[in-house]
This record gives sequence, structure tokens and C-alpha cells, in this order.
Amino acid sequence: MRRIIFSVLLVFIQAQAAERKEIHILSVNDVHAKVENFPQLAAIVDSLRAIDPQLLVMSAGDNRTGNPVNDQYEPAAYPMVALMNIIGFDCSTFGNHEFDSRQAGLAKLISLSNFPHVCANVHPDPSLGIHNVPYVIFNIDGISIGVLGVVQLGTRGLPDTHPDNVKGIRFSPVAETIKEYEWLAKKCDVNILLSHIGYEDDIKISAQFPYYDLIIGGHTHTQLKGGEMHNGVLITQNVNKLERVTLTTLTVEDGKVVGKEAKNIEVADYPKKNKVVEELVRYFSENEVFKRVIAHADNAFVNTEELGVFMCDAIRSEGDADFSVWNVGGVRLDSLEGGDMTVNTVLQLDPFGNKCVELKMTGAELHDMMLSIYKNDDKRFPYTSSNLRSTVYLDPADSSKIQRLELRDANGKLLKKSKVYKVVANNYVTSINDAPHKDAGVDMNRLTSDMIISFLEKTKKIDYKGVTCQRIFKAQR
Amino acid sequence: MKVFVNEKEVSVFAGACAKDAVRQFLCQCGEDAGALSAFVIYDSYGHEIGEDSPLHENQSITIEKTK
Repeated sequence: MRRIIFSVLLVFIQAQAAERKEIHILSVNDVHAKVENFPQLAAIVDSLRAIDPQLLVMSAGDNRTGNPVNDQYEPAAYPMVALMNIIGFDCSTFGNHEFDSRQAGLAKLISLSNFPHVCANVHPDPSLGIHNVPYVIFNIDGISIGVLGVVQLGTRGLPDTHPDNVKGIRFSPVAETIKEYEWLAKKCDVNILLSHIGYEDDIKISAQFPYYDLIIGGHTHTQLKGGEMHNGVLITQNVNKLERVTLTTLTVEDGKVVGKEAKNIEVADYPKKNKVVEELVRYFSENEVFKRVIAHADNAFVNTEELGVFMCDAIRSEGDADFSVWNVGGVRLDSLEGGDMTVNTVLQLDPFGNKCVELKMTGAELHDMMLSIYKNDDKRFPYTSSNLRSTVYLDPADSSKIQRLELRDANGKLLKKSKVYKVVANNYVTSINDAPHKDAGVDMNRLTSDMIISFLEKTKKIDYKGVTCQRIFKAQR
Repeated sequence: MKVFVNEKEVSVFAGACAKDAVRQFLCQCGEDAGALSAFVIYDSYGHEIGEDSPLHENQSITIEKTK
């Protein structure tokens, strides 16, 4: 890192002598609330600002979602905003996950931010109070730097978040929107697209709009070695969770960019930490919000099956499904004392940030899925919601093999093979099911841990003493 | 949706990430789905991508075992 700083300094001095100007930009993308790396990031920014006080710091979106320290805070995702404020970010675009805050939450986060949220293809209804701007223009020593922001849109013309999160917000197509701002490019000396549309689309945009000097990309978590030139446009992006950041140097002469260079800086291993930011991260991590009591368990959970059935019931209820399925390894506590259940309890039980997937399955497909999960999950039979009872008969010749499986509903009736049921499961279960099924399923855009917390907040009192979902027999020869 | 892992077609739920496709691929190959962390994932351009990288229909990725 010291070498990078010295080389930046040397180039900076040379540029002064040639009456050239250099613009330095430090960019992050898809941080996904990796707050643990912020003390190092702050130290990197401190070091670079000591050389160039006019350093610009930008985020290409998806600042939140992925760390309960941030996402379960009240207000949700405030820690990231506070940390970006203290580091002095100059701007951020929206990633699709910024909308996970929902309309009111996003409006609040923007109001708490000391930096603008730059996104030109997002048009919220004024009543929502979401105050993003399409672009910003920075002025560094007389050089104008235009930054236009854009966010990805999925097949339905919406960012990848729960559709309810974006009600009242209109989205315009990315390329169409960029074209509308051609005038901005003509007005500014330096043009930057702050993009959360993904690497492949960044390349397409570079071909369509080659007048951009730099595209700071995000969304696909693509690790580029520094930057990559496509159609004369420098594109940058890093993998997610703040493993690396990119330092870009644009050399400007007579109002034109005549040189571009980008380097990655490792964040997690950076040898220095900003002590103030470190203290702030510690404060957020130890926050009382995790100790918040959300429900009461009348009795202890004495084994993983009781816990697994409870977790299944929670996502079944929240997902308004007929049945739910959970892998044994996805229950991360062996037992749990009765009494108060807190946010922290749920995060210990389900710490993986798994997403919930909804599938329409016939009784036969569900039967085959259960067998497939058993096969692909170390011969462990999955848990189900309490309204689905599995009776498993093991092969007497080889007790690791299932000879027969019966699935019965809450009334003890065998599931009908051809009847279609709505099933919810975490994404791990769904991705290890290699049995044929017509509906591949769809991401509900909700974390299973959030669904369990929501279920407990509504239910208040639970009791799973002696509740089971499966009986396993060794069949007789 | 349909995606390709090491040129083999796999079906994953809409909204799946790279790790979901890789797990499905490993299962179909009879390998341990829990061994995900032993692989590096690349996009069709040969760039490393994160395991949480979102996928789209017909996307191709490749995986290589870490040494």
C-alpha cells in the first residue's frame, strides 16, 4: 500500500509540473454491509486524502443487506449510512438491495446521509419523500466531473427486490435514461457512470455511449484486475463485501481525459485501522437491538428437530405456503432454553443469510425432493413444517438408503401425487434438490431469518415441546 | 431459470446466485454440495465472481477447484 501511495504522490508531482490535473477516485461496490472492514477502508481513505485532499469516494450501490448488524438495526441499515458519512463518501448510486429498506426506510436513510444518492432511472412518487438525484457534478480545480447513476432492472422492469418494496416508484430503462443525459456529458470535462447494472451490461453501455471516461460498476461482484478498457471506456468493479476497492486516476489536460489508470487495494488485510471508525463499528455490533425480546418460548427446545420444525412453521406461515422444508445443517443450535427469544436467538439459529424460495410442487415432486435432499445432504433427512409428517423406511440391507417414504398432511392423509402444493424452503434446500420438478421456483426476496423474526413478533408465544415431523424406521428384511 | 456451469445446463430458481447454481451442478455430478468453498467461480469472460453474484437466464459460469 505504501508503494501505491508513493507512486500516486510521484505521479501527482509530475502532473503538476506538466500542468496536468489528476482526479483520484476511490470506489467501492456491493459492500453488503461488511462493516467489519470499514476501519481499514477509513484508514485507506485517510492515507489517500493526505496526498490528495480532493479524492472522490463513491459507491456503486448495494451498500446494505447481508449483515444483521446493519440490516436489523433501528432504523434498518443506518450503520452503513453512519460509516459512509464519517468516511466522507461523495456519492452513492442505488443498488437493487437499497430498496430492501422499503420506501419509508429508504427515504429515512437518504435523509440521514451526508452524500447524495445518484440514480437517474429511479423516479419515486414525491409523496414517498425519497430524494435521489439523477446526477452530480463535482468541480475540482476548475475541472467539472459529471457522475450519472443507474440501477439494474430485472425482467419485470423492476430492480431485484420484493415488488412491494418499490410500489410507487417508476423505473426507466437504463440505456434510454443514459441517452437522455447526453447533454450532461457535453457539459462536463470528465464523465463517470456510477453503475449498478452488472459487468456484461457495463460493456454494452460502453459500446453505446463511448463518451464515458469511466464506468464504476457493481451488481455482478466481478473481480477486475484494476480496470478494463472497453470501447475506450475504463470499467472497474470488485467482488462483494469490501474485500477490495479500486483507486482510479484520471489525468485531465485541456478539459479532456488523456490518461486512465485503476488499481485494486486490498481492504481486509490493510495494516492500519481508523480508531474512531473501529469504535463506531464496535458500538453498532454490540447494539441493544439484538437483545430485543420478540417472543417467549414456554418450554425449552431439546433437540434440532423441534427447532427445525419451528423454523419451518415460521417460513411456512410468513410465506403463506402449504408446506415448508429445511435442511438439518441449516439449524445451527442443538437446543435452546425456554423463555425469552431475542433477535440474537434467531440470528444464532439461522446465521447464513439464506433466502426463501417459493415453489409450486406436486405431491410426487415434493416426495422426490425430500429423497434428493437426503441423498445430497450427508444422508440427513430434512425437517418440515409441523403439518407435514414424513415416515421414512430405511433399506434393511443398507441403512443409509431409503426404501420407502410416506408424506402425510396434518390429518394423517397421504399427499396426493398429482395435487400441486405451494412449498417454501431456503435456497440451500432448493439448490441441492436435483430431482426433476416442473417449477424451478422463485426467490421471494426475503431472508429466512427476517421471516422467523417477523413470525415471532406476530406469534409472541410458542411451544414446540415434543413436536416432531418425521419417524424413521429400519425396515424388516 | 436455465444457466450453465462448466458448459452443463442446470436449472435453478429465478433470482438464484452463483452459489446456488454451483451447488446444483455439484449435486448433479454426484459431488458434495458442501464443498462450494473449494471452488473459484468465474464468469464467461474469465473474471472471478463472488458466490453471491446474481445470475441471469442462460448465463454461463465456470468453476475451478482451488489448489
